[in-house]
Amino acid sequence: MSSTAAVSRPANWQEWIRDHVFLGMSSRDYLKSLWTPADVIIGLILLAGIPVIIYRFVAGLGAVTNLDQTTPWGLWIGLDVASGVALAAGGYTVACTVYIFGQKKYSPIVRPAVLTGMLGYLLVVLGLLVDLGMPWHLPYPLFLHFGTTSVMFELAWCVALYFCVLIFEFLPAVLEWAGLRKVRLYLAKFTIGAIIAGVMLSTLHQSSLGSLFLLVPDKLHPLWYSPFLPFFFFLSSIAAGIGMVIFESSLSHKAFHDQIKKGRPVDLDGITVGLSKGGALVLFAYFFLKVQGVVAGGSWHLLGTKMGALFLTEMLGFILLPSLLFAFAAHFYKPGLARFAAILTVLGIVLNRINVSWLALNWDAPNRYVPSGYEILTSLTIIAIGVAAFRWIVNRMPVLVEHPDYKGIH
Amino acid sequence: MNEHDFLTLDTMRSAEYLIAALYVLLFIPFWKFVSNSAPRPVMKEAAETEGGWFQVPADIFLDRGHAWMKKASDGIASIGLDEFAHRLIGPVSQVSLPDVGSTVKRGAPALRIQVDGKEFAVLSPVDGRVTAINRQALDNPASLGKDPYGSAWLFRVKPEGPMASFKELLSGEKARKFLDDAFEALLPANQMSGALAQDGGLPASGFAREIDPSGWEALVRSQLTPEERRLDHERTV
Repeated sequence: MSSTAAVSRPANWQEWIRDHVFLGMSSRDYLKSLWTPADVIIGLILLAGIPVIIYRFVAGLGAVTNLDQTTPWGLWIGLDVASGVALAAGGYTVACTVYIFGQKKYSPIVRPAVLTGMLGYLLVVLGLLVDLGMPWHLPYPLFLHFGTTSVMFELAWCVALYFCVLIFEFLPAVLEWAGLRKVRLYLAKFTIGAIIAGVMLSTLHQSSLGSLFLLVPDKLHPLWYSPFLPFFFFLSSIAAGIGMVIFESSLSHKAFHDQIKKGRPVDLDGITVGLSKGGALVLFAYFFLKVQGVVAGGSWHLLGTKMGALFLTEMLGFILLPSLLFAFAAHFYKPGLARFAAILTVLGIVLNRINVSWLALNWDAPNRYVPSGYEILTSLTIIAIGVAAFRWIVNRMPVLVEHPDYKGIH
Repeated sequence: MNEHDFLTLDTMRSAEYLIAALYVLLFIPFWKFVSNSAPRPVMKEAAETEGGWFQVPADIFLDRGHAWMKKASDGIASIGLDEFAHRLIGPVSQVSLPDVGSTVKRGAPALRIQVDGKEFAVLSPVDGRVTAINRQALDNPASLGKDPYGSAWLFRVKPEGPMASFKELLSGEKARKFLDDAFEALLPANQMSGALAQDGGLPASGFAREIDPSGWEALVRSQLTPEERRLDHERTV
């Protein structure tokens, strides 16, 4: 019997492990069931990548990366940390929409969004640990030496607190899976508090990630540098969250189709089109704010340069275009178009974060940074850990379908 | 901050105000365009109400014998079997439909379905004359449960008789609640896991056999031809 449908407690812990961990199979059958292309690819990446991560901790940053004193931030910060935080924004965006704005029709996607957010932040934390090194020093900035004037201090605290909030928001699914009914029902009382804390913390740190780059006005290309950077980062994180939720939910509905078709039918097309309204409006506002940033920075004469072309690609191809596509998808009820716009949005935000933290940073330096193979492998490994964790959890816990014992409970 | 090579400070400020004004002016029609959505395709109306085990499209009217009726703009009504009934009985092996041109009476058996060699009558939700039957349903009855409110219509009728009888049919939230209540009434807590599909969610296909392996036939009959519906019919006759 499947774990989520279980009502009565199994007789002993071996049975519990078999039902809840090995999906009702013997350990040998379970291992055989892992022989799928997706599992093999993830396994190979982990097999190659984890020794590299260990090597990085043993031999230091210089041994595995092409980073140096001029370019201390590279792929890990651009992709795993900055993009990861933005793409994990679906958690607070959807939770806020459902629990604070009362848009209950989006409730079927709250758990997948919160799970994506939680795992996204797990990857951010892993990426940061790999980038910073010496993890045993972590308590210093958090608890021992308060650098209250540093953006980094605010960022560290916000990310740490929000990660805890996300774990708390996802805990009900874990408790339902474990069959701890009393604790689960008790936790339901704190849902709204957790959601509000999550929205507040996200607002703070999504924007402070942008504030971080206010410190480098001479290093960041003028087209990307703007005093509005915190607003850019916050606003674009909402768009990224919406894009990622649409993208992730359509992928999950394909990948976990067998599981979903047995659950209560979810009007995914309706949800997708509804979300695309939000995506259109947020990206529209973000586009104009970016234009305002260029005018305020007096840097539009740089639009004709090579970096200008990159900037225009980001602005027109990955902000304005998806905004218009979302609008058409919402107006004409085209869920497929909304999904395409969501992919463009997600790519656009990743491009923006990579631009700000890598390509447009030290843009005029004589020796440009190019990530090493080890850096790319490490990034892939961190992403593979997230994908594997997502699959493991969704296959066991009530994420995409509601647990029948807890219908209608937050 | 960079120097403004092309513009004086005043001109730059003017450009900023201009962009802000342009944004507001464009935002209003853009917002209206985004908000005024086209009507959704009919078949995608499946999840109009929140919560519960079952969803019922907004244009579907349910009878308590689990037949549904959907009226088209030309007044012709399609009749089919609701999702609850399909899940209760599982794959259908044979369907016998009324002849085109014959009349059906509300509350009287209008068609018969066969499941695992057992035959069950389905009561008509309306009075009327049969105008068409679904040949695909006759050829491939096992696939009926896949799209209960769409391609699984069984026959079409031109409704006759008093319109008041329509008012007894259930729609929207009432219809959804009727199906949920019917399911939950059949489901003692200790039997829940067997009747549910793996991982929870919707009732499993053919869950009547899970609930009562020996008496499932009587259970199905009690749902498709409930006592009060048969009495209704007998009273009218």
